[in-house]
Amino acid sequence: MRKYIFFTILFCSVCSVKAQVTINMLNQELYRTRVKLVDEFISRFNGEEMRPDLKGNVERLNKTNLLLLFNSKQFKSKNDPVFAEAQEMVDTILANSTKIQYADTAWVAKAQCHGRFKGKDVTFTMYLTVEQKGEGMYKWVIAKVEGAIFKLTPSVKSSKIMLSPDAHETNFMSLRRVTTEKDDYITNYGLKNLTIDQTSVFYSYVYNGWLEIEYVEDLEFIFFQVPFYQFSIKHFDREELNAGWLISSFKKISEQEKNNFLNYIYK
Amino acid sequence: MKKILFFFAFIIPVGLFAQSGNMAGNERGGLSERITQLNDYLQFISDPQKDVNTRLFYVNQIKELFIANGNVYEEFITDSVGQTQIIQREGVTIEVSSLRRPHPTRKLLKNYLSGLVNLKYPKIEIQGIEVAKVDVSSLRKIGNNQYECICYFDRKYCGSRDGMPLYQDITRRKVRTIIELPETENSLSTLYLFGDIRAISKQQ
Repeated sequence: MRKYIFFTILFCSVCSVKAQVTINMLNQELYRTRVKLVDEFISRFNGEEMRPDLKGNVERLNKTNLLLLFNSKQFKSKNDPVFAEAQEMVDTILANSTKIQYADTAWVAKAQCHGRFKGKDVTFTMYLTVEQKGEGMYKWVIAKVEGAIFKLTPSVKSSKIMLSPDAHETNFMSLRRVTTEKDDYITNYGLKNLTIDQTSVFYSYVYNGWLEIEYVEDLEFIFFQVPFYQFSIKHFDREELNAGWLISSFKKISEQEKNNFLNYIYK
Repeated sequence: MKKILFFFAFIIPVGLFAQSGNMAGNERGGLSERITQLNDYLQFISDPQKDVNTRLFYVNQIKELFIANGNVYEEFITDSVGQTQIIQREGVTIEVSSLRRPHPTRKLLKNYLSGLVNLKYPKIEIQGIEVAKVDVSSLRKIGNNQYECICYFDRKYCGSRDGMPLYQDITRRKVRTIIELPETENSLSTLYLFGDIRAISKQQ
């Protein structure tokens, strides 16, 4: 009888285990702490929103809230000098009450694009900025494009590939040859100090139907609003409290360097 | 042995939005309804245990939530010299990134939906689908009475066979949303239309 009861209980337990299926549903805490949108990053940076799990006095909260916007994997420990530098940057943000606004000209998107150029896979970098288009309306615009395919590097660079010194006497008839011989020699015929505007070359390729962008491989946003600092954010997709759009890198720069970069972008 | 099937009803919490930028209350409510509809339809369409004709019915229903029903469409614009031009716009697309693929795949919405109906699933029972609270970016003006925002939410999908967990997938979705406010009190109510969707799938 006892054996019968034992096996009955054992059998029921086995059925019960098989009937029970453990389901790990969405972790709401991870969801709430993750910086899901760039808008959310900006709100937390500006102190308009705190990470939901933070508690404590306001001054400490603001500092902690900002520190938690860094990708924690870049710090080996709290004693890491890089962490100390991050704290310095946070102190600068708080001391200057630095805020980020969507419409600022001091932030730039940097998109690593993957495309097809005349049937071949290519990658290139595109910088985009926010531009006002009307009363209270904005749009993203392509500011700069960089990539090997836009450099128009000739397959052969030689001083022998040139328009001869007497070309003017023959009505520059050799100009035709410039466009019928090897096309990619063309920049050999330009000024000694010729600089190619890669962005214009990009527009020309797209306009003529030679280049298609297939997808964005990598995306980061670069910010210059913090005095004497530049920092970038990237998206970290992981199941941890420290996830989403986070500060992936930061460095001290001079105002001159900042202006040089922004002038390059907006020129 | 009797197969035990658990199916969690698709519930979106009443307090839908974790964050809703600068959106007013009634707009938030309207958007909440639309997101609920979108997820309800997607759930039904992707459930291999539902009748295929019903799933196809919902494919047509879901398209109505999108700009131009997800199709290629023509847009009339006035150019800089005041002339009306017609430009062709590509239909709504879905870009899906997955850890299993080296690069994201892009499909027109209609092709994506057909794919969901025709997908040959292993014989699985859906164990649960849960959607976290929706985060919404700030509303940005894009035209007269027209605004745009991004709705973000995670959706977890669990499948099992004979009661044993087989498959889990978390998909993070960002949905572009156009909101057209009524011009006058007598106009039609606020219009909500979805645009491109970016989804990141993490199969576990």
